[in-house]
Amino acid sequence: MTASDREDPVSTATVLVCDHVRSAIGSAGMTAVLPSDVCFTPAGELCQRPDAIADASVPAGRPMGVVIGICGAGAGDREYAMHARRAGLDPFGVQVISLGDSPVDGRRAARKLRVAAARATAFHGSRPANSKTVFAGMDGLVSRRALFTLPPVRYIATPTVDRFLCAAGDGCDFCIRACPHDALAVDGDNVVVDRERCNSCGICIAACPERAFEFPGNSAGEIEAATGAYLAGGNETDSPVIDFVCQNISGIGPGDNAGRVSVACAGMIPASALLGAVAGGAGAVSLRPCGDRCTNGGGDLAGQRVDYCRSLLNVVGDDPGRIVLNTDGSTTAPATTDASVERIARSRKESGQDAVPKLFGAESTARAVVAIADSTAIGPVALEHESSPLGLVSVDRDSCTACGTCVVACPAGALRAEESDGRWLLRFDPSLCVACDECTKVCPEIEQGAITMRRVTDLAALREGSRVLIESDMIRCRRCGEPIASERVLSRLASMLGDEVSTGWMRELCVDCRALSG
Amino acid sequence: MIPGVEESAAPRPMMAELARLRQAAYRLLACSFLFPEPDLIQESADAARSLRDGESWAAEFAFYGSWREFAEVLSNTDPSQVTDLRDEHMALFGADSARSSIPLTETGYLEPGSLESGQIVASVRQHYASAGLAPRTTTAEPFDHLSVELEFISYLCGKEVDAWDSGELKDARIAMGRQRRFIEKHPSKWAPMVAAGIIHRDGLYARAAAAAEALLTHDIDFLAAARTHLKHAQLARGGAPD
Ligand code: SF4
Ligand code: SF4
Ligand SMILES: [Zn+2]
Ligand SMILES: [Zn+2]
Repeated sequence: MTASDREDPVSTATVLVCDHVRSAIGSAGMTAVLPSDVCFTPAGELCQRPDAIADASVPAGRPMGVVIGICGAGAGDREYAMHARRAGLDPFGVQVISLGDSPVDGRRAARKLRVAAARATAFHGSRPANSKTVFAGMDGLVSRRALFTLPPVRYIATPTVDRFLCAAGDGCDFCIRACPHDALAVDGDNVVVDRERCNSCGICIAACPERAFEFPGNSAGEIEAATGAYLAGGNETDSPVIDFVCQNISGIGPGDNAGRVSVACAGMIPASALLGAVAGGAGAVSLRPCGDRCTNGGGDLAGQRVDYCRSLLNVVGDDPGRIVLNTDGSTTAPATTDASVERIARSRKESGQDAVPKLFGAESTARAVVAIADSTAIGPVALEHESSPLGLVSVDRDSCTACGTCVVACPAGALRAEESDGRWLLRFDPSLCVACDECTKVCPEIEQGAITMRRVTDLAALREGSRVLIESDMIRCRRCGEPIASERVLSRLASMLGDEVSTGWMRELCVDCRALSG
Repeated sequence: MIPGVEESAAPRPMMAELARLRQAAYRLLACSFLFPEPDLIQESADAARSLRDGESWAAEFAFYGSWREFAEVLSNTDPSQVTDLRDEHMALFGADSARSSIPLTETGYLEPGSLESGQIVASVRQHYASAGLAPRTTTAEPFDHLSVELEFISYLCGKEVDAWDSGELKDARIAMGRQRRFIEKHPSKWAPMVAAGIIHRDGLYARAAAAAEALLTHDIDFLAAARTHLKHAQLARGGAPD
């Protein structure tokens, strides 16, 4: 079969299963649970023969997520990747899902495949720069001949940055600071990834407010799609538990109710994803780092974030037990309170939220916090926490000169300057502030306490939204009309110089016009 | 994992075989960006056909997908299409390769405007010279033309093949190091820009540019990983890495 006669304009993902899985689920059962744009294809002895991928009719020619549902352990990821490549598919879009030994539990298998299919529809292909080579070890093979033999090669995905989305040109460097392996740097207006250093942890994905990273297999969109699919199936089981699990951990998750979402490293799950899953209707959410062997510091990050989320749930009057850190490999699902799930479901319906929750990116934390708080109908509470991903900035009206230096420094766009009716306004949006502290570092009046940032999640501020911190008259050039400076800056200068005369003329002409008039 | 499937009956290919495949691939890519001549087309198409249906293990490598699409298109090309190909070559890359919108010279991207062979040409010539190639001044293509840079990598792959074949591990490592440094300093800096300009199109040049980008991008990382691997393997044998 050639690429052209396989063209199937409607499907966005394909699910291939071995015959044993098919007979356990039944074709009718499968098409019933899969989205209509996903094609379901039986592929014979797929569990034994990975080359069966090539015989199955998978539409080729564009990025296509493929789910391989097999009984038993299958033939190994490397083999499936190789046969996917031969069939014209992108191996980073292939998920091999082992559904247990034959006879397979059909109901459970269908549920897993449905979620994997949702994740597959969010796969958008990879670029050559997303591949990193890994040679299999030569354990035991120390003959001279072995040196001349090509060792088995595997590829793991490393992130790349979409240069149209990256905001490094505006001073954003959150990913660079977050990367535990020093693999990111700014090149021109973009962040670039050093593949040799990158350890494929995805911690940068959690840090990026612009969702600019492409991380095939573990992109923000794919993780959201898988989570959303479990949450959408919530009526099947009363309280879906979302179980974010480091991919280094194999084996079945806590309980049959749990929705296992495999991620590159626990450190790539931000607080916004934990809270977002709760806001999206999860009865409980657990995060499982791989433990001491994690070389990315994923366990510590996970611990801090879960601690923050639990404190937050407590403060807004929800049950803190809904978000847990699972470090002992326990297989019991965290307890969920059906009442809170119902509450969330109701408020979700009322606010018309869509099925796929936004777990990553700017504002995702704020949105989740407000949704949870609205469901408990809590008043204006606030949580001060060292791991709060949100900050709250305030300015002192006496010492702030409205110079705007902090606006230029803010990489998140949380501080903005505006002009209205000849007045200069400093605006702050608490849902965008990521508590980076850049604004206080650059403030020339910091000694006077002009600006303060606290790591606090403040519900009243989040509900109120963007607000004006300070305003000032804008003094304009008498000749060309261009703004010279704010009234406050000029007054401050005058008091510093102690000389009304020399600053008086500064209020008249801008620098350019002063140069012109000699 | 099912025993017998992962490590199937076929023995692992030798390092020399991969180097041979890469040598041929770079050479075909180099030919594809030259101004089309009927006999060149014929030769390339023949070579592409035998490579395309060749090694089954090639699908193990990440560049396989783009490489295979390129080999497919090239296989189906024949000398009767020379006029069309020439038109397309002119339309895309122009007569003056440094001045067109999609230049085929490194200078065209990284030192735009400087038509005088500047630092870039000096640097690529240095790479050629240090590999024992005396720069010829009679070639039609400038030294920093995509075809010349790709052909040079093919040459270095050939050196690697010879080294593996004669059991000279050290020479193989030197040849691999040369490839990696050259790819990193030169074609990988601009071949992706050529690809970005035409990758969304159909036809030979788009597939060739995509394959070149895939192969170059793969090889920088692959060669670095291979170096580490060989070092470890040699240490494991109790020998000092040379
Ligand atoms: S994936 Fe991890 S190691 Fe790689 S660039 Fe991102 S944060 Fe750094
Ligand atoms: S701490 Fe300051 S600079 Fe950083 S995001 Fe918040 S307002 Fe912007
Ligand atoms: Zn099976
Ligand atoms: Zn003026």
